[in-house]
Amino acid sequence: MMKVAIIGAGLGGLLSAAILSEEGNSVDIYDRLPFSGGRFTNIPYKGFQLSTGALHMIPHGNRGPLGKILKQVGSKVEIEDSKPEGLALWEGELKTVRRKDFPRGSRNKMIKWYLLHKIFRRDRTLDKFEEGIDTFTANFLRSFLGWSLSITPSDIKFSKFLSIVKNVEKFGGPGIPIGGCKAIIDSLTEIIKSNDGTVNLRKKVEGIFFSNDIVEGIKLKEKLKYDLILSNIGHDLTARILGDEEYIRRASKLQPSSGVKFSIALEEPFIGNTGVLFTPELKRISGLNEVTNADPNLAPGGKHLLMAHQAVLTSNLKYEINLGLSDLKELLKNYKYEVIAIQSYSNGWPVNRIKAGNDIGYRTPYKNLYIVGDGAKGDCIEVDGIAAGIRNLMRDLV
Amino acid sequence: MDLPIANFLTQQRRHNTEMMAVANYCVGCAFCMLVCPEEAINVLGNAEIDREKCSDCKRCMRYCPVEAIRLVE
Ligand SMILES: Cc1cc2nc3c(=O)[nH]c(=O)nc-3n(C[C@H](O)[C@H](O)[C@H](O)COP(=O)(O)OP(=O)(O)OC[C@H]3O[C@@H](n4cnc5c(N)ncnc54)[C@H](O)[C@@H]3O)c2cc1C
Ligand code: SF4
Ligand code: SF4
Repeated sequence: MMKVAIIGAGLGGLLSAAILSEEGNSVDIYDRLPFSGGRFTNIPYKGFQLSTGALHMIPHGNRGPLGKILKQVGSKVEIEDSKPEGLALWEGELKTVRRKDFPRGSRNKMIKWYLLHKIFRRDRTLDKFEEGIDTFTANFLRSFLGWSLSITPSDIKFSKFLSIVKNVEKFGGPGIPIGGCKAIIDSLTEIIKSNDGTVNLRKKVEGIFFSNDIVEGIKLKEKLKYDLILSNIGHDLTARILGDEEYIRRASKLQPSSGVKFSIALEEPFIGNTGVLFTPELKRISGLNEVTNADPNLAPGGKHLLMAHQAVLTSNLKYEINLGLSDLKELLKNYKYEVIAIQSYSNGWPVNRIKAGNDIGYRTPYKNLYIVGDGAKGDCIEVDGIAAGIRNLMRDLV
Repeated sequence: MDLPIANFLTQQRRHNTEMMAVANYCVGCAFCMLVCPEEAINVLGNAEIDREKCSDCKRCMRYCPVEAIRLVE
């Protein structure tokens, strides 16, 4: 049995804690905020269950890495797989976005790039793929990357994109947890507590103490000794609380991704189903979902909660938000709607701590200190990437 | 860990004691607005606190994930 400290009660911290406590270890989690769940929980506002970050969506629903771990640890949370998985609004019509729905020219280009990658290891960024292809494919690609990763084609290499496409084909599209993100957080907390683990809120970890390359414990107001430390706060912040200059230098190079989320109240549904609506024709908004079609309790009195997401493409955040708002005005012109919250994310509280494809793994310069969460994803996106990273780490720890 | 030196965007003085200020590293996540019992906060890219409405409960400070709402002398 190990004595384990987890810094941060985000999804990454809680998921690791659930697994380790199920295996009989003694686990204590510390978070500086007054609530657990970090960027993946609910925050109630005017009767709506808004979220602290995530769009109440799991990229690969029940079948992905997160869905699998939740079942393994005995979570009873219900995830409604999206149906249809995703549609694109294009020239006033809804289009399905399966492989066969794209023009032959862009499908052929995909095959050509695939072969060049397989045979010659060629690996270019996707802005090169965009050049010369039809506008539907090019714009859809932008909206897909904006929605799922808050990035643009020049931010991602073909090999990484290929693995995303493969994962969608392997695990299927997204799902919405009934009860929103918080349902998952609550169910993990229950599992941890039933195994005598503790979740300590409003406890900021100020430092980690170590000798040579072994960490010995954490510093709150007092010093606490542990055998193993998992950090849910990313490489950069972890390096800073360690005060390790060399590690700080390496970790500070990792770039986070920025985005804006709009929460919109509607009397009548706009999307009307549980899938993602991609909006490749809009200036900034890349897609929307309407989670009340999966769980009406996420909004009060029969209303709907529509959420729109955009990447931030310039350094002028107010300008970016205004473009998003004008997109919404155009899109919802025949609907009665109210934007109830505009939330932006960057730097120390980003959409993703590391832009997709730039992960440096869960290891740190210290033998018994590892990173969990979106600072050390496995080969999958968003919270499924968090789960994949933790699954790999747990194999390593045995 | 040291916090970056704050460049204060909005400042207020309340009950003649402390001053609450929003630092420029506020990301605009709006948690403070969502939890404020007085609807005293407006967020559009960064938070602005309406000193007339604020009851000084400090709830916004506790919920800020990047410690951008600070008390200054
Ligand atoms: C707008 C937006 C939309 C998104 N949409 C989706 C989506 O639909 N689907 C999806 O899968 N993902 C989505 N994501 C990404 C997802 O929300 C994150 O990847 C995930 O929540 C990160 O979890 P985490 O556990 O790694 O980190 P966090 O949730 O950030 O948890 C880290 C925790 O550590 C705590 N902490 C920090 N410093 C300390 C310290 N010194 N001591 C103690 N505690 C500390 C923090 O308070 C925090 O609670 C979205 C993100 C955003 C911002
Ligand atoms: S101190 Fe309380 S009332 Fe004042 S802005 Fe913050 S949350 Fe609102
Ligand atoms: S909670 Fe903090 S970071 Fe978020 S908007 Fe308010 S002041 Fe800014």
